[in-house]
Amino acid sequence: MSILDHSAIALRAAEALLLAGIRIDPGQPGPVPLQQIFAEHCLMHTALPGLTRAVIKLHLQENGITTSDLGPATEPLSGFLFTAGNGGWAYVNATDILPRRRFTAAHELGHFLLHQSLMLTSVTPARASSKPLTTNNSSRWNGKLICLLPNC
Amino acid sequence: MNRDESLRIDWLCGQYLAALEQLDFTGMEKLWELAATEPELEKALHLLHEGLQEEEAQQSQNDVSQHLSQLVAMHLPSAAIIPSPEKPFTVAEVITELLKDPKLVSTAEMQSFIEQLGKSTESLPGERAFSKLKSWAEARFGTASPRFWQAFQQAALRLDLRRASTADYALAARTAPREG
Repeated sequence: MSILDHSAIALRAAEALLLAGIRIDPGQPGPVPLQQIFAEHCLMHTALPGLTRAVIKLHLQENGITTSDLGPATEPLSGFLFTAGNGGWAYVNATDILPRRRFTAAHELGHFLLHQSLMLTSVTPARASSKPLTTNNSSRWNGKLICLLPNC
Repeated sequence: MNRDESLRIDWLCGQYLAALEQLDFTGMEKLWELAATEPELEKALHLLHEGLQEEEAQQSQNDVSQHLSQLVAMHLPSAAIIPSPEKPFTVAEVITELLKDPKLVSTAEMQSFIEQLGKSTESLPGERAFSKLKSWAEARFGTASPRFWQAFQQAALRLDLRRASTADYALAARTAPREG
């Protein structure tokens, strides 16, 4: 599947809404209940101020999750997705304005739903030198996903 | 051994268990005397004791493990307990994780509910989606606020991530736009 395949994205977005039990009513515009979609997909999300990989690494560590190298420690980030097993943790920058935080959260959700295996860097702790992927140029597909989630 | 004899042995084993639970040594002795003349009954009583010993050993191991987990959680709050990967997490383990954020235990009613769950050695189902996990838990333990079940799910997810990430994890980052 191409990562920009519109129909595949539409299908996955519809599945995500269905799984979360969200019914689309075009006559009732309002914010997409992202929390509900995240919870039904076993994803946690947290907003941290001054988001960097070092901040994320510390947060994961505080929650008992030990990671090796996550990449450039101090590079400012808008969002980050960490996945293992069937679940994951999405991070957004708490210092960003709300619409941007929601956009970033949907972007990370898009990673999780659409193409974990295609776009994420897989790290086995024993060979932790893998370079994490940076996806600041992939706004086209996540924009599509966001538009397909209603009322955003 | 025909069906009637088999039923009789089962019934005698039941009598033996009842005598054991009531510490009725006279009753137990009579059954052992009978077993001395009936090899099938003697074999059944020995098997019964083996089963009881295994159960006791398992229970003892569970008690020690649970007690140790509680002590670690109490005295080493920054420590992460990683149970063996082949075992599903228990409700009690999720509650231990959940209680690392004591803000959730806001009312006496909630405290009592959490205490009840904290004693449960029932294994969590494989399903972690919020609505399914909540339905499963409420069918067993009764209703609680959506906020509580949300915290419960997140505690379970943290345990899952902790365990799964020791083998393999994946990540993706979105860089912040450059200013100016």
